[in-house]
Amino acid sequence: MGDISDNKPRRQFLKHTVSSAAVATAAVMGVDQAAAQAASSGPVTSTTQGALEGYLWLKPSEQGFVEALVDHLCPPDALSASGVELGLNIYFDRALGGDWGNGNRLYLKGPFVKGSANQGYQLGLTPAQLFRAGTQALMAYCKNNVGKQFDSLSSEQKENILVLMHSGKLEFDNGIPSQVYFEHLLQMFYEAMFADPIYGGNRAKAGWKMIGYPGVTANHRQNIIEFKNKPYRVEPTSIADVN
Amino acid sequence: MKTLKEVDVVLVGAGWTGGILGKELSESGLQVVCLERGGERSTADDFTVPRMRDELALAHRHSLMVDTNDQTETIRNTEQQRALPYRRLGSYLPGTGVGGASTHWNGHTWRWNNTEFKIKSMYEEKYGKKYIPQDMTIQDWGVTYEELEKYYDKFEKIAGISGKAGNLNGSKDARGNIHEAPRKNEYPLPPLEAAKMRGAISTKHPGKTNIHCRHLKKAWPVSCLKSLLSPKAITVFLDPRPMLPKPTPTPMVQNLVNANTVVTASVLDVRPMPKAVPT
Repeated sequence: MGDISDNKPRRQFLKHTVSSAAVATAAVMGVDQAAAQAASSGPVTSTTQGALEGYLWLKPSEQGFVEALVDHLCPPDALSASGVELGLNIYFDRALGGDWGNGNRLYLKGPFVKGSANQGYQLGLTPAQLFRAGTQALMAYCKNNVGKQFDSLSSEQKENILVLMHSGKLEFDNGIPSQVYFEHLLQMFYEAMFADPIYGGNRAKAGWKMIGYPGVTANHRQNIIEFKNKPYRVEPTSIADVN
Repeated sequence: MKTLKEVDVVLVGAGWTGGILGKELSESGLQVVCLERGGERSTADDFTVPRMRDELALAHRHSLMVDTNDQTETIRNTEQQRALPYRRLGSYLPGTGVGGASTHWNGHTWRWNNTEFKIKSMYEEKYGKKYIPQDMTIQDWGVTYEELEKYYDKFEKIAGISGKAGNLNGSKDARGNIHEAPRKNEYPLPPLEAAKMRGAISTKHPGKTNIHCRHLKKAWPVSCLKSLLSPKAITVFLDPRPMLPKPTPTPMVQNLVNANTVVTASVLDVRPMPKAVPT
């Protein structure tokens, strides 16, 4: 599987023209633009991300929080570029602002009673409402207890707060259960990292490349034979590559 | 109220069952109407790559499954608990739409044999009338494998099932499942290439049953990230039906590997596997 852009002139065109933000990112990273575009595995040589820049739904204070969150959970290192460079913040924005964020396929009529862990989600909030209320509460917590916003905290302080939320020990003033909020954030992070790039995250399939996931493969029948007992490492294919 | 024209047969639901019945009945000359609560779907639009590989939409947002706003239920694990709405699909996934469960079918079709169809009488035959407690509601199905064999055969041809017969009219062949009930015909399609499922199932000794477990009926698709990184992490769930006191002889597992095995891996399920919930 070669670089799919070789036989897709339209994508090549988009690559060179639309994504000024990607170009800016490449400059920040000290990567030569042409080299970045030639290297299909580079984290910023997005083929279809031109339209996926900027925020539709997140408010400015939430944007700063989400960027800090995804960069904390996915720091730039030997494995990948930073969360923001992978578009994880954009995934959050599009998911929360879309049908799913608005409660599509989520039953939201009463009674609203705290259930057991096995009874699943029982809040009367859409994913977007839960995110917004939880983020407000977290911001208030940071301001009142640390005196800074989340995005200004040290890595260690961020980690401590996330761990507290994960265990449910952090109590929010507005009554949002911090553990449910944390799990919501974490699930969105996973999706941003590993869902198809068409949703805004996993830019240039960087999440998939990191773990060796092949992406949208039509059929593995032949691969099972050819790669039997051998590592299967191919250039991942995304939905946009096949469309 | 509008009165629709009367037809011979109305089928409720257009899944595997309704679909097959509709085909058979309409081909026999009857006029058939199928009622389906979900949307229309077509193979070309809805079941082709890349749409069918959109893991976020299908496996996580459950786009093929029922919308809980249309239908859901309340759940609890014990009588003491208050039953609460099943708000977002998770532990079980009721289907909807044309095609029904066939659209998210796992790709295994197992023939039952008489240890299942005649479970009560065969236990009693082997262990005596008193073996099954009086308050246990277990019973025979009222049909036998011999009666159903030709329908199994027909279904496997309709669905294009792959495999190797292990018992063809009583003649055993160790390339297939020698413990299966006798088939009149070979599978309509040859076996799929064996996938390696290290740890759980071994193909080291073809023809020998490597795992004897009466409850191991099928392997669910692997859905944890670890499986992508290490084949050793593949998890095989066992059929959770409660054990009877003494296990019967062994239905076997060999042809999980050499017949119908489809192993898929989910990249989004990076959460740890849930612990088993006592029922």
